[in-house]
Amino acid sequence: MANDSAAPMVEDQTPVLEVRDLKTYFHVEGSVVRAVDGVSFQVKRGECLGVVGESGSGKSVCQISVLGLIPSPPGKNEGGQVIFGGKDLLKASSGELRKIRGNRISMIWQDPMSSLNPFLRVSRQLIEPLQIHQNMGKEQAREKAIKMLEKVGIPGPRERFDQYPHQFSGGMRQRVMIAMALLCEPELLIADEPTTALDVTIQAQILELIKDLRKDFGTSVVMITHDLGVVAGMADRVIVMYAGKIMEEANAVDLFRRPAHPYTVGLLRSVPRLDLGASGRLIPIDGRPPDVSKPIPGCPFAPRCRWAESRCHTEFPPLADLGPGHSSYCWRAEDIYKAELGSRVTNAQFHKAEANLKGAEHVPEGADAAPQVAQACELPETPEKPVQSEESGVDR
Amino acid sequence: MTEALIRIENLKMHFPIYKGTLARREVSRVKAVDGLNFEILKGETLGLVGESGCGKSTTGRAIIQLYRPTEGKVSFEGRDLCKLSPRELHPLRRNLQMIFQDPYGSLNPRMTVGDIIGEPLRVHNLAAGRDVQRRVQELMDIVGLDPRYVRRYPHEFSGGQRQRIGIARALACKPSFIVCDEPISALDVSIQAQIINLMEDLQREFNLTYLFIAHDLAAVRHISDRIAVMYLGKVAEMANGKDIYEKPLHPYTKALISAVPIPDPEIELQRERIVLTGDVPSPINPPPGCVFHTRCPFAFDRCRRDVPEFKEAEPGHFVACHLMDEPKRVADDVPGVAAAVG
Repeated sequence: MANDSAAPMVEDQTPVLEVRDLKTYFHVEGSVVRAVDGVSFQVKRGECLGVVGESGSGKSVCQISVLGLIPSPPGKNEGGQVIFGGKDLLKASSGELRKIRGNRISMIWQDPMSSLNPFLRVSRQLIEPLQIHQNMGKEQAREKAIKMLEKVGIPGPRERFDQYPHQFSGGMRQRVMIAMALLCEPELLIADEPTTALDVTIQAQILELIKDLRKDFGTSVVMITHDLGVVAGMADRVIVMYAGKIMEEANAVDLFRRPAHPYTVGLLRSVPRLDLGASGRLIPIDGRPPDVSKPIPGCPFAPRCRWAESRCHTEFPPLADLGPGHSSYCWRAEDIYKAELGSRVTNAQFHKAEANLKGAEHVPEGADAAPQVAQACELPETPEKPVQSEESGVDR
Repeated sequence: MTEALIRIENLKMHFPIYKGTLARREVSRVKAVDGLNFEILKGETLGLVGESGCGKSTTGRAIIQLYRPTEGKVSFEGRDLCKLSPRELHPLRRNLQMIFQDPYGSLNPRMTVGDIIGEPLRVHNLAAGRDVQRRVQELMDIVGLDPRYVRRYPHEFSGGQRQRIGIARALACKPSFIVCDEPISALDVSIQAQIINLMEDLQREFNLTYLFIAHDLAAVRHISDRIAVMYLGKVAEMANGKDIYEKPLHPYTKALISAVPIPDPEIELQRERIVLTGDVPSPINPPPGCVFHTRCPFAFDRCRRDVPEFKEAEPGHFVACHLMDEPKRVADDVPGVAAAVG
């Protein structure tokens, strides 16, 4: 309760964080990479928002921009607002931001190995935020930090307090990171793939820990991940990102049961499920993510979409509202939502529904090109060619 | 029952740790793989799962003799690979191929795709001149790469495409056995499915036998016929995929299964987790008795003393756990665990 702006408890309604039309571009070698391209979302008080996407979808950049940590140059915020505690963080001075980061908004990074300073004892790194943000004396900070280490489940916290990061295992290091992030009891915790570098049993430990701490501190969490399983277990609400844009937003149960965007459907179909086992083939998403350094006129997913129509390639779809809290940016959102292509649908059901969806006139490009073994997958005209040579070849 | 393609007996791979520069002496050993016994059947996919450092990759490499095992036997076509000299091994190697985890590190950046895929053909004198090129293009076509890219370099391809190059290279000399060492873990979700499907198709078409090594239990279950669960250099449990998931016997398997998140919030909500405490012990100094006893919720005296034997608990279902002899302990000591897993 370090801040006073959150005073009137309008439970669950006031968003902790509101992002409006955020645009973060990177200017690299004469081209503009639209890493985050007009993203809007809210994080409500006490909720866990899952942000799903593949690498390069902008899911991390988006959250890092919120904290004003985009390296600039080449990165640049090209527009939008990030409202936190009544202020626009994009307009805040670096001094103001410093007061917020690590204090009211904390971050857990993917790689606990490289996000702790290897030269400093854990104690020093843990005490620092308390001394800076909460004006604590050394002794007081020390006690609080040790308590926090105990809370995150590090055995013998007092003995381990003065050790160096390399003396901790990967899971323990991630616990130290979490302890550090929670020291100042932030209102918002941004976790960027917090368990990707960890083994499954350790992942389970860390996820349980984050759940427990959420309960204890009432912290809102933004969980960035590519793992649909992690999202399913943790998130209340989910946004699905692709090529710098939000494709779909829904509460977790709806998203998995009735996705309304072909990309979400594609993701659900392409991950093997442990509980269903060898229940037939996976249905992958053909092709690969687009190059966001070139402007994409229509829907960025259209070239890989099973159900794309001609307008999908030329015009970005408007938001389709599918009931409370469920929205999708797809021209055919209604159809897909109605088809109920959730995670439990079997392949047979899927193909049946798909036939209906395709209908007569919607034949996506290359739909007939699925010959023998494996063709069809990932065969755009050019592999990732260094921009210059390929381009110049075309120009000539 | 199909016959075994590869039979592994008491396979051990220890890496010595030396100290001192002049008087170099061995101070201890990393027991990466410590006594494995199993068979890989013709035409099957055997999945090998476990956490990092459990020795699963070492196992794969030791089987195809990329490491020469410290001890034990690897029988292939009636011969013990461990006893063969490098020269004797050479002609056999074309049958034993590998797909690597890192599609970036495993392709020579200075060679063109054509050279990379064609190299095994030249090494084994399977083709020369024009034939190499023809075969390379055929292979590229098989794995779903455009044969026109034969002169391009690895950096010009995406991760998924590079993995296809690696697969084409492994297929080049028509092997019978391929070790797939985490072939999808470096790829994006949507690309993973493409590669899994490709591998399944190739297996059917060319009658391949896979050892599929991965830490992702869901992917392993999807692709494998049988699964071996490794922990600290030993196989804890081995059975067909369905039994491993539905009737796991070893406490470690149970914990592992319960830790894998399932992409379905409604199921996730109901699942109970067996959260293991602590970390995996060091393979330099593995715990005495059962290596899992330090983290096992059911461990009793015998587990700390005796190494459990890896034996058949049910037909085709092998497990190394003392609890098999004392089934009462599981039910009595921690109620609800069996239910949580099922």
